[in-house]
Amino acid sequence: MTNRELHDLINRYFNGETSLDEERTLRRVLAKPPHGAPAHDPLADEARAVMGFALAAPARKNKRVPMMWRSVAAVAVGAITATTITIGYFGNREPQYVAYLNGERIADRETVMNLMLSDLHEMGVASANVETDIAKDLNEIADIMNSLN
Amino acid sequence: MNIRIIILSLTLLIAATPAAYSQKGLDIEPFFEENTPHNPDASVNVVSITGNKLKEHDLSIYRSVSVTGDEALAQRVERAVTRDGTKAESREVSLKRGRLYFGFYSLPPVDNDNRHTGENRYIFYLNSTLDGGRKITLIYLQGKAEPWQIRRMIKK
Repeated sequence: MTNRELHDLINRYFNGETSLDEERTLRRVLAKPPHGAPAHDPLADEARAVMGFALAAPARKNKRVPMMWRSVAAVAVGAITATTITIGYFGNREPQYVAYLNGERIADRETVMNLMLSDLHEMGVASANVETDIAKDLNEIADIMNSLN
Repeated sequence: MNIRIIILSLTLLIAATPAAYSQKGLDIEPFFEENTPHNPDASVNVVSITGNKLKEHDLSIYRSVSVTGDEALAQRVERAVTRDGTKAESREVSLKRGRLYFGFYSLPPVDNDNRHTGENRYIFYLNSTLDGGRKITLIYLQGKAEPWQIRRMIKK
């Protein structure tokens, strides 16, 4: 991966646009920079800090981060990790049966399923009507062609 | 890097994550939100289902929205369906008075969601106002079901 590709991937990570596979790739590249990577890369260091890595470069010795902000950062990293795992792993697995009828929320499974079946039935009726119209048109064409022979 | 900027970045990333996961890449997606903008006097019903009951039909996601009494919203929905329909692998459409009356579209399978990769996607659209009714209905289906299974399901 080139340095430019790495920076593009980091920016996409900060924008929340990366897939889980891309995040794994990013984590792997940050842990083991490719041969030829610059010794000091502020963007990569920032990504490492967000993803929980120790900075590759030595910390500034003359300026200590207050303990309070270190604690807040640790909590934030934990929260985002938990959020990502929860949404990515459980988000699409939690069963959901929800309807909003003019803004009124309905979460009863049977009621919502019946709404679905009603919608699909309407589509079935419309589809059958369309097929009937097509058959009628074809019959008219057939009659005209027969009358010409 | 200043720790405060890092914390701000983390906060913004938390806020962005749910939106990133809800993207489907279809123009019809916004209409399935329960707070989609509409005429206050209109009747808008939204249904969202993901669960075991859908698996009986080889489906994983069902979304629908029906609108009564909001012609502007109905036209926006129709335009979105038409745009998404251009990506369809197959389509069955019927027009009445120059407007889209009925549409059944089979879209390319999902390829941007690790959990649902390869699942088939379908759109149904019906504008019953062109046939004496008052409602437009939009349905999105996703799952392993093949088109013939979908056709059989709607005929029940």
